[in-house]
Amino acid sequence: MTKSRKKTIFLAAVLVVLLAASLAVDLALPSYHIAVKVIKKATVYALVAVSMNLLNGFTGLFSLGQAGFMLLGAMAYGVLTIPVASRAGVYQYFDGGLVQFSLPEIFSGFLGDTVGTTAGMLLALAVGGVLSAIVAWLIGLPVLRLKSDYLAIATLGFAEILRAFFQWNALGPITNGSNLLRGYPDFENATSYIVLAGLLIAVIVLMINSTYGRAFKAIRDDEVAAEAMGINLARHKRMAFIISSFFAGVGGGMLAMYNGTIAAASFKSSMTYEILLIVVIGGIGSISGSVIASFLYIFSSEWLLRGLDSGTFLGISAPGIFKNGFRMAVFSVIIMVIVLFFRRGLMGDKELPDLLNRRPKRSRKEAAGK
Amino acid sequence: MSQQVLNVENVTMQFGGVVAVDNLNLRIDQGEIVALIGPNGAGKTTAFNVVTGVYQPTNGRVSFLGDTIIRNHPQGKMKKLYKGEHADLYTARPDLRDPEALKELESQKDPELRAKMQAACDKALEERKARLRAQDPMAFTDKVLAPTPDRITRMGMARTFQNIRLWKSQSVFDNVLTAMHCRTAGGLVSATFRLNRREEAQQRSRVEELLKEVGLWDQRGEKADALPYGKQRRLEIARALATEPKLLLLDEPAAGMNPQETDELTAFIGEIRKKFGLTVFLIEHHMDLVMDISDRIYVLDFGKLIAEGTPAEIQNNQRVIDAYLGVAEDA
Repeated sequence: MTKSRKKTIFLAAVLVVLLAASLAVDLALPSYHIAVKVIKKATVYALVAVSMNLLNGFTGLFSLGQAGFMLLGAMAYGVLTIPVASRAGVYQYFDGGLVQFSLPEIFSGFLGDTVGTTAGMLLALAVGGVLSAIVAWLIGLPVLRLKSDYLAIATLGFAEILRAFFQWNALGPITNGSNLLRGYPDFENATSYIVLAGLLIAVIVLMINSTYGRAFKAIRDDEVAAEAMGINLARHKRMAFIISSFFAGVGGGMLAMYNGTIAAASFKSSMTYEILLIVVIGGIGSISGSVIASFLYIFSSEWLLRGLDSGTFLGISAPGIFKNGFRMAVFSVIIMVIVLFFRRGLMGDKELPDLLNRRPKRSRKEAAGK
Repeated sequence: MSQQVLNVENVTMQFGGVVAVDNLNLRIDQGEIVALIGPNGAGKTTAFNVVTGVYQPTNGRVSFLGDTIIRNHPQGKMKKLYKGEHADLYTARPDLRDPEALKELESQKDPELRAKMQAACDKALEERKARLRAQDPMAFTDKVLAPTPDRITRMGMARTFQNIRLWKSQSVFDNVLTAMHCRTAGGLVSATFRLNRREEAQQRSRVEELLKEVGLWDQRGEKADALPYGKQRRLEIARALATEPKLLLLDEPAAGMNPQETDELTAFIGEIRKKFGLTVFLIEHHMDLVMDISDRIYVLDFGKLIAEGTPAEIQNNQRVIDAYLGVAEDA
């Protein structure tokens, strides 16, 4: 009992420190500073990575459709939040578009400017999530009958189809075709991102620790046994798929916020791979692993290793070597090293508070015996 | 008369042309321990898989606690391949109906007469069907019942596996707790936001009870695959019990156990039957265990039921002895 309390305190402490750090960053640095950008992007990726981990790590469904669901969420967010006044400019090739309202503006009409805008933005994010969930339900009907690699290919294909679909000119009045959506509101500070993504991740964690999460893990560990113990495979797989897609959709909306523009073309399968990479590096089946890995990944790819592309890195100026593309080469090496030395990711399937556990003595003795 | 828990009627399981279980009939009454034995490859596990919904039988019916839960008859390509009971009713080949009539039919050149004979053949078939239907109103109905294994488990049938299938990465405690999921009333939202605390607490205290019962409470925190073999078997039984079964199916529970462990298991099965008011159906090769605890025994060989009876009867049954030891060619 005391151990579990210790773990709770430890986790709470980590969360408080994180929150304090982000508040400090917000107060000390302007919102265009790279640190704020890194925190924002990393939180969004953390949310999406956790949603992918729910599916790939906890339910054992190897799905690669994350970018597709993110695109849905991003599109929904953009379409619903661009101010009416700037729609004519954004949808210049489509006569100002079909949708002639903006959720934040509607809400600020009767809730006041700050609260109303925020409420409208949150609602738009939620709509994106729900839209993704509905689409997930639809494509889950045929796709979830497949297993492992086949499921991966089917979901990957679906995400690509969705991307092409959103670039379709006939949908232009809503999606703006292959043109950018822009001019929609964003949360200024990093703390709002952390709080929002943190709350959503907390919901996922609660669910994973509930009886449904246990059922998901049973399906992952042994499908036959799970079914024999009364777990309805089709229903639970569908459930996991829909929940994961919901959070991916919300994450997509937040990524749109962070980016400032939405182009369907940028939600490629390489984005799914980025997230998969984060999940694998963090540890398949570890929520805190996904969060830590996404911060490390975004921090190094966006900030730490930036210099490798632009001429100077760690004070070494070598424009001949450190030019465009070199960053990705170094990055690949780092990832290979991580995968080699941390076979099961940084965290394995452990969570952050588990680090408090001492290694059982018996296992050390056993290792010595062998 | 005691209540029938499981009733298997005319169950045939065919994989293509291979008949794994051939027209199996058996019944298990409330509170009994019934064993299914037979040489390797006799179709025992296949029979289990049919009863628990893993396989859909080619033909036949399974009732549980008085309700028909599984029912099927040969369909599609199985109509041609089916070799079990009433095969002539399902096979599309006329030669199985009546070889004499067929020969006559084939040799008949006159199309008019030929059509007449064909009609007579069909009529005879329909009449036979009608007679069988009169005996059993559910025979030949087109209604197929094929519930998935999870639904059958929720009806009150739980099983263990021949090759242990625990959720290896999870603790002993979580293995049993997860099996209670199928009895959880709370929905996803109430479970996520901990609105069903009382239910969760009840489940946890039941897990404690069960683990103490099977003697695994001290190892509750260990990973399932870290347990010694005999205890993994016990854990599998505890996990099955967590689904609140009325009928427990054990597939070779003593496989790989030494004599002492087998004795413990024998006592254990007796105990849990009394404690939980269970009916037990088991497959086993350890004859000591089978003869010790079974009320009745069914013997399968090459998919066919060759004997049934009390342990004493089975031990002296010549067909059973032949099946196990073989028959001399020139005898």
